[in-house]
Amino acid sequence: MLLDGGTVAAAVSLTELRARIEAHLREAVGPWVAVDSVAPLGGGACQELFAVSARLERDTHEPAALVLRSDAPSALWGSIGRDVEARLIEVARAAGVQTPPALWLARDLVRPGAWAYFMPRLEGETLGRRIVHEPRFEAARARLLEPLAEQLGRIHSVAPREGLLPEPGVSDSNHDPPRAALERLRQRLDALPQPRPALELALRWLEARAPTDSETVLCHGDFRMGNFVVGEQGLVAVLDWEFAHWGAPAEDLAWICMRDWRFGRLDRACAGIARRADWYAAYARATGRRVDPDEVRWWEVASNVAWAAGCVEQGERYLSGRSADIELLAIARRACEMEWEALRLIGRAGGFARA
Amino acid sequence: MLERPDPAALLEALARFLAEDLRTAVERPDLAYRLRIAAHLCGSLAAQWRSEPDESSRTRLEAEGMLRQLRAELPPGTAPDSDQAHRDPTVELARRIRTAPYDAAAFDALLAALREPLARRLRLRNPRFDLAERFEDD
Repeated sequence: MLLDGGTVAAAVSLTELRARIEAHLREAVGPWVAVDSVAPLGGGACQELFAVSARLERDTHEPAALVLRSDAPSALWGSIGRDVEARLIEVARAAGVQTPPALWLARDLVRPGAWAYFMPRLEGETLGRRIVHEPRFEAARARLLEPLAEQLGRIHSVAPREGLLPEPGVSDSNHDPPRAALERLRQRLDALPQPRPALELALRWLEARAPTDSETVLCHGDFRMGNFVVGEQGLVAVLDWEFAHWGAPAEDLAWICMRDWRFGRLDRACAGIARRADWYAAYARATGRRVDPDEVRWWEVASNVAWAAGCVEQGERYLSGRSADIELLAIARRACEMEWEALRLIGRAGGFARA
Repeated sequence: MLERPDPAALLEALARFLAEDLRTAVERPDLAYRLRIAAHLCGSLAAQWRSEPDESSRTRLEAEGMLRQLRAELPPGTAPDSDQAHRDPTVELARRIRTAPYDAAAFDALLAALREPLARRLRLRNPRFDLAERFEDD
């Protein structure tokens, strides 16, 4: 059968995968481990995820609920490998971030060359639409803002160091996150199968208005509704470090405010749950950093350009034959939403005349 | 006149088949999810086809219009046309925007012009997408 809703590259059958996981866990944990079940998990448009039920303790019949997270046969621009991600998660946890540990790193489990690790499966909801709209999360929504700000502050407390992520030169005092982001965007736009004039125009605006004197910190890179595990009592964990990189604090502050992650609640810029000003204030309280709304706005335009390119890239994963997941085509058709929003934000900021 | 059924009618029929007939037959949640996506895509393509059967010609005309506008706004001699201009005006428009000298008036005019086709596309692809200029929490 095909995994990941129809992955084209050679992946093993679920029966074979179960046997491989059991062999790996017996080596990593102990010879008593038994794997009861392995099932593909939906929801990961980038990584391959499997629900694994395994008895890990010597004298128990109580199975542990795990998630296996594996490199997919094709990834988006800026995606780090699961081996790098596992190291990064250790660093984030040491900084006090609530994120599940990456356990028992393995290579070649799901397909040759792919790294994968296990993590405990957490109780809670990740689907943004449910968290933003369902009445059962009303109490949780009311108490998400402070923990999110605090978590982001802990992530941003990690100072640049060489070797953790595949980005050289980050501890250099000349490292300039907006310039680095512009260079990345330029490269991404150059690599698109068809040029997008709206994104090119947004890039010109970004170039003219790039913030100066940015601090460089660890950025989560995809800090948004959809990557938070939320229970009815509030935040459970932050997930998905695939797009972590060295960047400016304002970059993550903006990403969570992107229109696409508000799930229709346009009146609540922060993740569809809180007002923009309250989000900035919560982050400032948690970190002592001053938040410059113009700087965040710049990153919000950049975020929309990046996600518009990301949507097109998702479609290309299908069209190139590297993935057979039809959802990728639906995502590609939504690129124009992010283009619209980037241009709308530029207009709201006074357009080019004020740049 | 197109032979019946035309592409939009076929796409609508496919959308109905996927969303109504097949939906009850598919039990695997990940496949049921993708079935909904497939049905939505067919419906969205049908709407697009009915409204704009020749999208590529329209896109080309719009890009040519914006190129003319950009040429008129910029000082003579800057950003000359490449060989691409006649083959694909969208490619040329993108190249010019990247390389043209910074010109606030020309870029503001383009900002307005580029939003029109985007708005049209969005109305078709996602009728729930709010095209307002400003929101309460901007």
